[in-house]
Amino acid sequence: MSYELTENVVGLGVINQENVEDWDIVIESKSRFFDLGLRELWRARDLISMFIVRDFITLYKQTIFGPLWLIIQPVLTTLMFMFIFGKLVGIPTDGVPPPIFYMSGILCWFYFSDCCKRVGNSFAEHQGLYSKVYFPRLVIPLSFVIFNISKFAVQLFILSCVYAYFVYNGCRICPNFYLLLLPLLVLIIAALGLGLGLIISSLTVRYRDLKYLVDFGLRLLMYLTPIIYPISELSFKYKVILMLNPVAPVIVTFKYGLWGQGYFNWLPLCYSFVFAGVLLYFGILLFNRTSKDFMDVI
Amino acid sequence: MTTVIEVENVSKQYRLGTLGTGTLVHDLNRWWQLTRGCEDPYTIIGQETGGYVESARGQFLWALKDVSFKVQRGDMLGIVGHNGAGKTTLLRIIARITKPTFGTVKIKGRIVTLFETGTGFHSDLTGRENIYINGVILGMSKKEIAQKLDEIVDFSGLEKFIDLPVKRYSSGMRAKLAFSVVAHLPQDIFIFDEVFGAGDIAFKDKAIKKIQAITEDSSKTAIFVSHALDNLKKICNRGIVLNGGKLVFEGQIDSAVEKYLQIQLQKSNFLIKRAS
Ligand SMILES: Nc1ncnc2c1ncn2[C@@H]1O[C@H](COP(=O)(O)OP(=O)(O)O)[C@@H](O)[C@H]1O
Ligand SMILES: [Mg+2]
Repeated sequence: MSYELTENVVGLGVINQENVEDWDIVIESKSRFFDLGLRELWRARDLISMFIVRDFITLYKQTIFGPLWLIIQPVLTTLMFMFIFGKLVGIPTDGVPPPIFYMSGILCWFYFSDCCKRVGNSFAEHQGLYSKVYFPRLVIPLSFVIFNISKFAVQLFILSCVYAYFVYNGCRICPNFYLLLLPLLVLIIAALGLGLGLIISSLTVRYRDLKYLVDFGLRLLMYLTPIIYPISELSFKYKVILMLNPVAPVIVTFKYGLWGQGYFNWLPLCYSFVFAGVLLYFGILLFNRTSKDFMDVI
Repeated sequence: MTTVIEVENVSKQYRLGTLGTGTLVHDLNRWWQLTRGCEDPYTIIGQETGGYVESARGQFLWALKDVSFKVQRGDMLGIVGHNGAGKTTLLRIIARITKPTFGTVKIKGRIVTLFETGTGFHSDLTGRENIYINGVILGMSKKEIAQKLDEIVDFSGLEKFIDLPVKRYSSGMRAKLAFSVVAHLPQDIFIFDEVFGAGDIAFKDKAIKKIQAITEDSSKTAIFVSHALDNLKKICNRGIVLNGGKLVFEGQIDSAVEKYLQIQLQKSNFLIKRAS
C-alpha cells in the first residue's frame, strides 16, 4: 500500500520520496524508555495463546507427576502446615477448619511465587529462542502468568471440594459477598507476580547470584503474609505493618470472602492494587530495556 | 525501485573483559575496594601490562563500524567477509535480536532471519508441534501453517521423525526442519546466515533450488551470508564485503567475491611473509 502511495505522490512531483516512505520497522540505537510496547503485544495475541498451549503440552508431556503435582504440592504443604503450625505450635485458625484455612492462603501464595520465579527466569530459560527470533519479548512472561491462572483454577476447585466436604459434615462456615472480588484478587496477584518477576529477570541477567537471594527473599515474604496465622488476632500496629506487604491484603480479603469472618478493609486492598500497577509498570520498562541487549552480555 | 532495507551508519560495540563480573557479591566487593582507593581485585593479571585497557570498565570491541547500505526490493544480496568480520552481528541487528550502538535500520515489509543456529526449537516438543510454534512466532497464522504443514514436512524429508521430540534430532535434522519452516513463510524479506553449512549435500541442493524459486518472485528480497562463494554467485545479484567491521565494498556479486578473495589473499601473503 505504501508502495502505491509513494509512486502516486512522486508522479505528481509534489513531495520527494524520502518523506512519504513509511517504514514498517525502524531500529534505533536509543530506545524510547517510557514506551511499554503494549500495542505490539496486543498484535501478538496469537503468539501469547500459542505459548499458553505450549505450556499445557509440556506440562502433560511430563511424567504422570506433571499434572498430579498440581494437586500434591498444595495438599502436602497444607498437611505439613496443619501438623507443624496447628498441632505443634498451636496457632489458632480463626475457628475455621485448618485444611481450608491453610490451603486458601497457600494457593494464593503459590500462584504469586510461581509467577515470580518462572517469570524471573524468562531470559535464562528462553535464551535459545530470544537469541534467534524476534517477537515481543513480553509475550513469554505474560503467557506464563496467564497459563498459571489455569493451574490456580484447578487448585481452587480442589479447595472448593474440601470446603464442600466440611460444610456437608455440618461445619458452619459460609462465604460472603466479598468472594465476588476474586477476579480482582487474581488480577492483583498476577500483576504483582509478573511485575516482581520482570524486575527479577532483568536483575538476574546481570547478577546470577541474585537468584539465591530471590528464593530466600520469597520464603521470607511468605512468613510476612498471613497464611499460617489469622490477622484478626494481631494488634492494629502489627496489622498495618503486615499490610505493607502488598500480597497480604489480597490473601486477607480472599479468606474473609471465603468464610465470612476475619478482617477486611478497602484501604489495604486499594494500596495493593496501586502497588501492583506501579510495580508492573516499572517491571515492564526494565524488562523491555534489558531485552534489547541482554544477548550481548549473557 | 523501492528500498526495503536501509542501514544507516550502524555501529555495534561489544564490551569485553570485565564488564560486570556476573555476580553481585563481586561487583559490590569491587566497588568497595575501588572507593577505598585499592586496586580492582578482579582485573585479569597481564591485562594492564598489555596496554589495551581502554577504560576502567573493560575493553571494547567494535564489531561494526559505520556501516551503511541499501537493499532494493527484488535484490539478492550476498554478504562476504572473514570470520569475525561482523556479518552475524549485522544480521542480528537487522533481525532485532540486539540493538545497534549507533545508527538506524529501517525495514519495509515482513522479515524473517534464519541463523546458523536455527530458529529456536523447544526440545521436549515434537517436530510437528515445533513447526506450529515456530510458524506463529515467525508471523504465520495457525490456518496458514495448517495449510502448509504437509508441504513443510515433505520438504524437510523428516516424515518419519516428525512426531518425535526434537531433542532426539541430530543437529543436521534440526537445521533441515528450521530451513523448511522458514522457506515456506509468506515473508517479503528473507535473511540466511550460513545456513548452507548444515544438512547433507542432497538437502543443500534442494535448499538452494527452493531459495531460487522464492527469489524468482521479484517482490521478494533476500540476504545471504555464506562462505560457499559459488552458491552466492549463483543466487545473488549484488554483494557487499565486510572487513573488520567496516563495509569495504558494495556492488555486483562477482566483483564483491573478487574483492573478498583479494583481501584474503593479501592477508595470507602478509602472514606468510611474517612467518618467514
Ligand atoms: N556477544 C558478544 N560479546 C562480545 N563480542 C562478540 C559478541 N558477539 C560477537 N562478538 C565479536 O564481534 C565480532 C564479530 O562477530 P560476528 O558478527 O559473529 O562475525 P561473523 O559472523 O562475521 O563471523 C567478533 O570479533 C566476535 O568475537
Ligand atoms: Mg557468523
